[in-house]
Amino acid sequence: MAILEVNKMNKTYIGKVNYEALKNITLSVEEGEFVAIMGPSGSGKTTLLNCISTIDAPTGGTIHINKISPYALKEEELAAFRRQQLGFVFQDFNLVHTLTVQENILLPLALDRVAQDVMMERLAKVTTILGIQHLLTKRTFEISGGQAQRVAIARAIIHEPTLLLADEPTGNLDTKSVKDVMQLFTTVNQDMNTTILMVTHDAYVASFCQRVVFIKDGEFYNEVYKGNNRQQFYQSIVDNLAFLGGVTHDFS
Amino acid sequence: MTFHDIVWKNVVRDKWTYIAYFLSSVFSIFIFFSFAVSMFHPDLAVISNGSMLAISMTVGAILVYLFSFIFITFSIMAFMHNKKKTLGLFMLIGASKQQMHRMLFYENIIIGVSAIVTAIVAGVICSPLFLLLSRKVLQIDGFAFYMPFKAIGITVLLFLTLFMIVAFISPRMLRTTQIIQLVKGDKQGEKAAVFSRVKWLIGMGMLACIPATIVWLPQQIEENTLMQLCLFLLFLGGLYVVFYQSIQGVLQRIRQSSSFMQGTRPLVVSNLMSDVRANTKMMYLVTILLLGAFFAIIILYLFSTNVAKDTRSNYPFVYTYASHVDNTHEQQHLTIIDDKLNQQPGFAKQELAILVEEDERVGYISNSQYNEAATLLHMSPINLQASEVAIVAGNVGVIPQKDIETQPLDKALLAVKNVIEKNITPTGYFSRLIVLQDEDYTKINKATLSAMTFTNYTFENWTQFIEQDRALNQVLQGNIYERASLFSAVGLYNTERISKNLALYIGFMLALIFIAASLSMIYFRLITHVDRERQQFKSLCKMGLSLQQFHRIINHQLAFLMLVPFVIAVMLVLLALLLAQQLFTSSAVIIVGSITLFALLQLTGYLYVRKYYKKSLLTM
Ligand SMILES: Nc1ncnc2c1ncn2[C@@H]1O[C@H](COP(=O)(O)OP(=O)(O)OP(=O)(O)O)[C@@H](O)[C@H]1O
Ligand SMILES: [Mg+2]
Repeated sequence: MAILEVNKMNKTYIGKVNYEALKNITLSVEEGEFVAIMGPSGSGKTTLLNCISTIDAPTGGTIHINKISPYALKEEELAAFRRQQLGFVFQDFNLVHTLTVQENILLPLALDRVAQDVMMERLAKVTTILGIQHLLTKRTFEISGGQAQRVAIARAIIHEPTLLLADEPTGNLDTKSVKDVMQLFTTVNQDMNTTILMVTHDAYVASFCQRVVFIKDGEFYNEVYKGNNRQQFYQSIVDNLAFLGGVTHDFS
Repeated sequence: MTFHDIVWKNVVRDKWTYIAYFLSSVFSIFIFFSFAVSMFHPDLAVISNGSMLAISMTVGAILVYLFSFIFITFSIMAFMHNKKKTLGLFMLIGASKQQMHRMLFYENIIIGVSAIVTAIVAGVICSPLFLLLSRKVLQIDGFAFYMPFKAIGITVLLFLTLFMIVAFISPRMLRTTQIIQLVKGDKQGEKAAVFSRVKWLIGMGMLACIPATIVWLPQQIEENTLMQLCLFLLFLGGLYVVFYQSIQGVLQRIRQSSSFMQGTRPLVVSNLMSDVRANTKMMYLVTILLLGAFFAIIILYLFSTNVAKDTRSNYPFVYTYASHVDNTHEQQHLTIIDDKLNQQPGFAKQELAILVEEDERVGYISNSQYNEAATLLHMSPINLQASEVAIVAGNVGVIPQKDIETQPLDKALLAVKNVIEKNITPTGYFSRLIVLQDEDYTKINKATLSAMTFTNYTFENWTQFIEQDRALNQVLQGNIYERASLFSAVGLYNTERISKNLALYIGFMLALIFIAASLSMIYFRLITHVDRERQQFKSLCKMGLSLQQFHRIINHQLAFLMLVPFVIAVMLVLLALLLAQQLFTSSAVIIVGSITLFALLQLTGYLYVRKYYKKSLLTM
């Protein structure tokens, strides 16, 4: 069953000069799939993710998440939809600095008025998976970048969302943390059967996924599946990137 | 963990962001409460001047309340801006609109209630001091400490309403914003602003209109409130444009100069330019607040120093006993008064016989009597010939009419020789006096006139005579009746002085509130970007910025933000006072003194803000 269906989506930024950031994107993600989106800088990856995550409305086409079209929902329904079906991880800004780690993680449940014992049960589960039990009482500025990213992931999955969306979640992490975080995503994907859609620049990061979708200048360009051989998968990602003219390491 | 926990923690843990705002709210509520304590004092009914105190305190309290409303609304708006990112994140995670509204509402209420409680506790503790101040200003006895339940009630009620209204309005500001705009928040750069000479000139033109109209149309401005309001708005608007454009111009000029990329200058300038709009707005508001503070104090002070002179132009003699011819107690009263006064140094007494035309309130006196009175008042005597008259003003500042009702004079031809614009009788008693040559005066037709005697007294050091004046009034009070009245410059002086002192007292409190608010705005402006700045300095230090350079950057930046508004405010005050020349020359010392005082306050504020801001940048 397709969890996410994007059909002929367009996004035009209106400004002094209108800019068509996404052109006729069609994309389908199956339940339990782990998909990466790649493309050169400015190709529209963040825009695509923002449209899917309901924080920026597309200008054309349709989006269905779990058979629901979020943009057709009323405001209150949309809030509930976000609360229950979606999880987000961003590259930098994720946590509320006035709250502790534990409070940040529990935030989606608190907003949904989940009972206290259920909260604690779920908290124990995700923090064990992510290995952040010892951080719970700390404030957000007392933890490292990699730890903060793990906390953000914990918050994104604690309410067991249908779809987890991540925009460059490993952007400013060191190699060791990148590997940890990607293994976490894999664990979450496999153990909790969470569907994940993430944006990345890094071929190594993308090689953890089952499929990579390439976009260029706001258009669908190509996609590659993992198959059995991870090494081969990595190679074809790198090849595609070279064709796209994008760089694997950019300093934007 | 429930939703309420989150709201609570969100405020409590963010207390350093709110602290300046909280403190200035507390301060405003505190002042309001202190006024209310005097306003509702149970002794008020029995003391003289009580109603005056009540009215002044009410006016003060209303002003404080109005100002608080503006200040609190403005601060909440700024906070909303500051918290955009967090709010966006909450919405992203799925907080419903209702929850967002409730969160903001509770936040405001938490801050509001704690400010009110703090202010009232402080207010009750300090109320003996404030009552003492009121007592000193009014020069009364009694007015002891009491438990001000009524004041507490009214303060809680009014400020709770205020915070409720603001709390209710503020979430509405989120309504139209998309999440994407919230999350991007402070990253959305301001549109790069450009200096425009035309706009600058327009602003200058608007400002120049004000002194021009004051010089050319003084009469209209004095009479027309709408015009005053227009001028005021013109000033506010013009100042904003000039402010904005000048800062733009200066920064751009520096940026374009060849020495721009030298030392720390590019950092200071680009820092200031990065939020030039917000910075300008803040500096503009601070300037306005400081101007308010300066004017409140200087103008009120100037008024209060001229009381003695003003009193004597209203009541030219220290005492005037005005008696109708049929007053049987005249001798008895005059004896009492004489006894009280004749020991005073420089004592002088003079009797003025006046014939009164009751309907028109016109008095007729003889030339020689006028000269006697004029000599006592150090005015020049006049010398009238037959058929000549002089006209003397009856009211302060009103030039008397020249046409003469000839009927009682029995003479068709009269020439007005002098018009004397200074009154010699208590202001308002007559519409004017007509002085006749002595011989003409004897021939006057007394049929329609009634005779009065004004007994005038002067002596030196009359402003010190307050106690005796009170005693004198007491003796005469039950005694004086409708055919006579006593005008006491001492009494008038005392009342006037007390009301001016009250005004000064309230003005001073308002000025303190303004200064506190201005410091709070500066602090708030800095705290808004403290995270970003900290990041920036961290990376700059990695690039080799020395600690010394760091200090220099912060010093320059803060000096610009804090001292420029101060200097501009001072210049505007001096300019305004120069326009009203006589005010300026008569009390240059006071003006310089109070500006120095404010400069010291501001400098202390600058040093403190600088210290804490640097500390918060370097730690964490
Ligand atoms: N708010 C906006 N207004 C106008 N144009 C925008 C806006 N946001 C993005 N764009 C443009 O849309 C295009 C796609 O932007 P997007 O942020 O989606 O790129 P991206 O693929 O995420 O790039 P990167 O890898 O650098 O993050 C870019 O050319 C960008 O200039
Ligand atoms: Mg991006």
